Amino acid sequence: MSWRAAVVLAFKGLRRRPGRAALTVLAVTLAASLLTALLTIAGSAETRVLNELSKGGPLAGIKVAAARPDPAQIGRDDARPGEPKDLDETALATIRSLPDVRDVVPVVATRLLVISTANDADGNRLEPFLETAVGVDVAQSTTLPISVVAGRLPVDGVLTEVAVTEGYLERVGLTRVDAQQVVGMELALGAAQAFARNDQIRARGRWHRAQIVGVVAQEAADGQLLVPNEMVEVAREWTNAGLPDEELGYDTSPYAGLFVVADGLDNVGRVRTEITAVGYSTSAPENLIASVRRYLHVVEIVLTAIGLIALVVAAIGIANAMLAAVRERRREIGVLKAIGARDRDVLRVFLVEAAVLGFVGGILGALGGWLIARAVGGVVNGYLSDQGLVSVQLVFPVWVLAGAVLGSTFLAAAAGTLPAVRAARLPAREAVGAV
Amino acid sequence: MSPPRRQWAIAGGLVSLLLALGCSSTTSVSDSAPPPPDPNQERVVFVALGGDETLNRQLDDPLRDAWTQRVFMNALPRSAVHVNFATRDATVREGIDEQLPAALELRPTLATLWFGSADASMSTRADVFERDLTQLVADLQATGTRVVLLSPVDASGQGESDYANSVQAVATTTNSELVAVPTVDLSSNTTQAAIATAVEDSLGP
Repeated sequence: MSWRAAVVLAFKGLRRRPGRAALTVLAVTLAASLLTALLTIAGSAETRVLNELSKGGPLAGIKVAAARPDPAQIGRDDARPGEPKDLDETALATIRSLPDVRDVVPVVATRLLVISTANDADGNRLEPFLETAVGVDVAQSTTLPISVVAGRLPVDGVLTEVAVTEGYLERVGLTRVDAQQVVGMELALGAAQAFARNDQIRARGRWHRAQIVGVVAQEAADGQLLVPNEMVEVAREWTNAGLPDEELGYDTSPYAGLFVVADGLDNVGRVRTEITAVGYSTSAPENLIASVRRYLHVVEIVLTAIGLIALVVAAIGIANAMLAAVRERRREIGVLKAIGARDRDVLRVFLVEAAVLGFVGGILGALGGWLIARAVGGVVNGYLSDQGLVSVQLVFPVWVLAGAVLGSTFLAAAAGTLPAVRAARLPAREAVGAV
Repeated sequence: MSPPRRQWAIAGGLVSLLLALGCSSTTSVSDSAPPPPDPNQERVVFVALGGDETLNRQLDDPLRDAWTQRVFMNALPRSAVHVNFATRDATVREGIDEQLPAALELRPTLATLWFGSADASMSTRADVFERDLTQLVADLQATGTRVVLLSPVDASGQGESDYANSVQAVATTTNSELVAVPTVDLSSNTTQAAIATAVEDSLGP
């Protein structure tokens, strides 16, 4: 008997008892839906938690400060930097050439005097304040620990756009929930330059205006303003052209820090040691991420087990339905054998029948799991949005969807093996005689 | 419709409903962010040269209320850059020696000049004042900078001193714009606002 004939016979068998077939498919669908939804939600939650820990940057990210390492802090996640040390092109090239370093993103910074159009919490004019502007290559922002809370990031190379952090929101008496309120507001930003006149040190500002286009959570460097690095470079050039005054932002270090991405989480420790040997202080949440991942893995195992239990229950249902089908179709089996069907042909028919039930249930289950995960994601994102938190991006891994279909098919075929073997071994005479 | 077709239609409807529910239940947090600026916008570099009249240290909040800051924040495009090079008690000669070189490094497109009070205190001769101011304006204009001169006038609209008359003469000879400033208390925000408005008006739309 050909496979084609086996499939036709299997479908005919299923159509004979459509109610039973539908219920069996429903059981598989529910189990596959549960497994798909649980794995999708668990995967998305893991991504979200790790994203929160790495502040939107890569997990294997390492912050390098323009400072020497403090021997007492080496290896700590939040290592406090030691004495300041210029971070220049030579250091950048050296760190870039270290083994297991995948990417290095320089971070620049400068002090700016900020005049805000916003009022403080009491409704008074906000006093002008000195704040650090962190300059990054916006095109590489995905490599940096930056996540957008509201609005968007400034456009690369544009000198009239700025993003602010939650620290700025606090300054104007707002919280993360109100982040959208500051988007569109304008700031006047002044880079100071110290100069001498009549034996006295004075300062003058180079002013420009910028619109707040977004609110971000960022850990690239300390500072409440995130701007394209061109803006910082222009301001630094102005400040450094004057007399050295660190209060006003004079800084000889070309870079305020580097963000180094190691080639995998397992190499973070090694890369940190190498950078320490070059002479710079590093920090990275490697220990925290490793612990959290261990816990998340346990949660994932538990959720998978729950889904698998449901699938096994569904498989038992398939086995039960198939056993009933074998009992009811003894005469058909006998006739098949009487006209020349071999044991393996009968086995094939019943195995295909079970596999079809699993396959259809798997497809519907993957679809159902996707819908359930989306619905849960919608509710969760609604809550997060109300709280002013970054929403969860649901990830639907292909392996989960494919696994639901293939796993259900395989499990159903396995569950149908015993009834199929029983049907195959039924002697033709006994089968026909039983009628 | 035959029964099997009806069954398929019902099943299709249910799947569509489920899909619609799934799609609608996902809340997308999309915030309205301002559009990016026009990259072809002309860049204005506004420098202010002068003495105490331009420095405005006497104000409570000079970074917001001084006329130079008002012009910068209200009358110029967002892409404008502004530096106030004015220094305390600066004469027009000091403007040439100390402020002009630093200002020219920025390649300004717009400059305001307001000198006179320090020259009056130092008793600079009016002809020397006029000559130096002419040189200052000419050096700025040579780089393509648009120059606006400020000068106090009395109630009749006449220059209130020889220096004011010199400024008017320089404006005429150099074809610069002249802004007549009412001589009232410079520590008043109202006066600062009036000066800023007068400068803005001179710049045109």
